[in-house]
Amino acid sequence: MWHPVEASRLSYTFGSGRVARHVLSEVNITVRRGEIVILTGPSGSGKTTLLSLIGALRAVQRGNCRVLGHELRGSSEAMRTALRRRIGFVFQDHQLLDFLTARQNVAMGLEHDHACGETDRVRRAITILRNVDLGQGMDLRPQQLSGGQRQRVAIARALVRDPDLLLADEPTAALDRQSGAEVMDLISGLARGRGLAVLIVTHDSRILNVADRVVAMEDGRVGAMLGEHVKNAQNCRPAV
Amino acid sequence: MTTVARARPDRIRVSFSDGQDRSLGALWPVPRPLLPVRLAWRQLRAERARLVAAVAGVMFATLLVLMQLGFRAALFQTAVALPQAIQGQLFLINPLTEALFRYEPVPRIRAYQALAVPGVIAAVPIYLAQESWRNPLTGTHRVIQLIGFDVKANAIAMPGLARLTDLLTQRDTVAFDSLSRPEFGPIPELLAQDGRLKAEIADREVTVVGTVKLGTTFDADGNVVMSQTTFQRLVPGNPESDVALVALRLKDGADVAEVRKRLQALLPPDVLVLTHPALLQRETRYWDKETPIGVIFDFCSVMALMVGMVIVYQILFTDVSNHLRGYATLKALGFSHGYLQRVVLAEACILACLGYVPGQVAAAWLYRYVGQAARLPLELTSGRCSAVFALVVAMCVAAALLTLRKLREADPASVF
Repeated sequence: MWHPVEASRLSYTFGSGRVARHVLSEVNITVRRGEIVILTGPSGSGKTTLLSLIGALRAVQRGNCRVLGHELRGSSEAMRTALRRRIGFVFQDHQLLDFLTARQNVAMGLEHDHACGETDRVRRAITILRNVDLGQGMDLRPQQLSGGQRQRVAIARALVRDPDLLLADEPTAALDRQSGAEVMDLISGLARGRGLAVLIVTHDSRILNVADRVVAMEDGRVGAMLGEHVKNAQNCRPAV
Repeated sequence: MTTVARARPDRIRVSFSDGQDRSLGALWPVPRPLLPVRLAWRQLRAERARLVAAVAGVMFATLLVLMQLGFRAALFQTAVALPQAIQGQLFLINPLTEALFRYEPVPRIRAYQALAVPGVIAAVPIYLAQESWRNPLTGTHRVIQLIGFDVKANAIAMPGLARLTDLLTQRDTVAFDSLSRPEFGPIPELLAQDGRLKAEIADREVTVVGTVKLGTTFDADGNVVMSQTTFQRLVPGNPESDVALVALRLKDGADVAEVRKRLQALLPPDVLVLTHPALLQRETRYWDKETPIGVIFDFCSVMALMVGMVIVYQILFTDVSNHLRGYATLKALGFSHGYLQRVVLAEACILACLGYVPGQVAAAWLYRYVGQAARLPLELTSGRCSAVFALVVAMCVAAALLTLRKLREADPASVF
C-alpha cells in the first residue's frame, strides 16, 4: 500500500556550473493518509521547493518522489498536469483570479471534471463555500473580501475537487492571529473529516499544534535531530 | 439550516442561513470546448476600459478596411460604367488603348469592314472626348465627358435615353447625365422648370433636352450624351474617322467566339476584337494594375490591418502580462498550457466580433454619406463584409499568436 507522499533521497539544484545552488539534498519524507504534516524551517531552507516538487509543479532532478502512487521522476509535463488535478493547493497569498467571483473561482477548480455539468459545478462550489462559512460572500470578487475570507475561498477551491492531497504554503502568513487560527482550524477540520493527507509549509509557530508531525528543514536537508516532532510541537520549536 | 435546491433544470436557488432566498439566475449549460471562451469573456469584461480600447482599435481597423475596399470597388465599378452600358457582343478598339478615357483612335472604316463578316448585323462607332462645360448659373467652367454615337441605334443602355432619341437627332442638342457632380449646375432642376435649357460646351451653345443616368467616374465628373453629328460640331478637332471604339451587334444565335476569330483574321492589326467581358476586364485591369490607385487601396487596407493587429497585440500582451500570475495559478491547478492558449485565442476572437460589428455599422453610415457626397456607388456587399470579417478575425488571431509567447512565462512553480 502506498502513501500519498513518498519522497526519498530527493535533491534539487537551481542553475548549473559555478552558479549552481543546491536547495534540496537527499530529502526523505512521507505523508500518510489522514495525516497533517507541517514543514517548517528558516527562509531558504528548501521548504517551498520541496512543496513544489511534491505538488508536481517542477520536474524532479534526482532522487525519487512518488505522489498519489505516481513516480514523478522522469514524468512528462502532461502527466504532472493531470496529477495536479488530484491535489489541492492553498497558496500564501491565495492566488484567486481577481476577475472572477468567489463562487466562480471555486467552480474553476471543477472545470476538469468531465462528469460535472455547469449546475453541479455551481452547486458544489456553493456547498463548499458554505462549509467555509462564506455563504453570503460568494458573489463578491476577491478585492471585495477580507484577507481571511480570501484564504477561505482559496481553501474552498482547493477542497472542492475532493483531492487526495492538500498542499498549503504559508496559509496564515497574511492573516492576523484570529483569522490564522480560524483558517487552520478549517483546514484541519476539513482534512480530518475527509481523511486526506495534508502538507503545510509555514513559519508560523502558532499553528504547529494542528500538526500530527512537524518536520524541520535547514539548508535543504531534513535535520537529523529535528527531523520529526510529535504533535503539540509549539512547545519544542525547532532549534534552527 | 441552509439548503441548496434546484428550482428548475437551469436555475439554482440558494437558501442562505440569514433567511434570504436568492436565485443565481439561469445557468446555461456550457459545452466543454466553450469553457475557455467563457473564461476569456469574463477576463475581458473585468477590465472595461481596456476592453473599450481594444474594441475601438478593432472597429477602427474594420472601418478603414471596409472604406478602402469600398472605394476600390467603386473605382472599378465606375471605371466600367460606360463600357458596361454599351450594347454589343463584340468591340473593336485600338490595341494601344489601355483605358477608354485615354483611348487611341480606331479608324471608322473598320466598322464598315466588320459588317462584311457573317453574323455581324450592326456596327456603331462611339466617340468620346472631354470638353469644357459652362455652369449656366455661375458661369464657371469644368471639364465634362462627351459621348457621341448614333442615338437611334440603341447602342448605349442608359435610363432616360430612349425617350430623348428623336430630340437628340436635332443639331446641337444634348442629354445631361443627372448623376454628374453638382458643380456643373442644377441642370435637372432647371430642366424641370423650362423643359429645355441653353448651355455651353467648348464655347458653343447647346440645348439640353433632357437627362439620362450614367454616373461619375474617377476620370469624368459628369457626362453629356449627343448624336454623332453634334459631337463632330462640338469637337471639331476630332476627325470623324477617328472613333474611340466600335460596338458590334451580332445576329441572334451567332457564335461570338467564331465571329471574333473571323473579325480578328479579317481586320488589320490596328484593331483588337474583344468580347464584352474582355473589354470590362481590360478596363478594370488598367486601374488595378497600371495605375498606382489599386496598389494604394490595397496598401492602405493592409496598413489598416497592421495597425489593428498592433493595437490588439498591445491589449492582449498587457492583458496576459497582468494576468500572468493568474495563468500560473491555473496551471498549478491542473489547467494545461493548451487550455490557456485557447483562452487567449478566444479573447482575440471575442475582440474581433465586438469590434467588427460597430465597425460595419459605422462603415454603412459612411458609405451612404461619402457615396452621396462623392457621387460614388459605394455599396456594402455581403461578400465584402464576410471577407473583411474574416480578415479582422485573422488579424486578431495573428495578434494572439504573437502574444502566446508571453504565456510561456506563466510558471506554475512561481506561485509557491
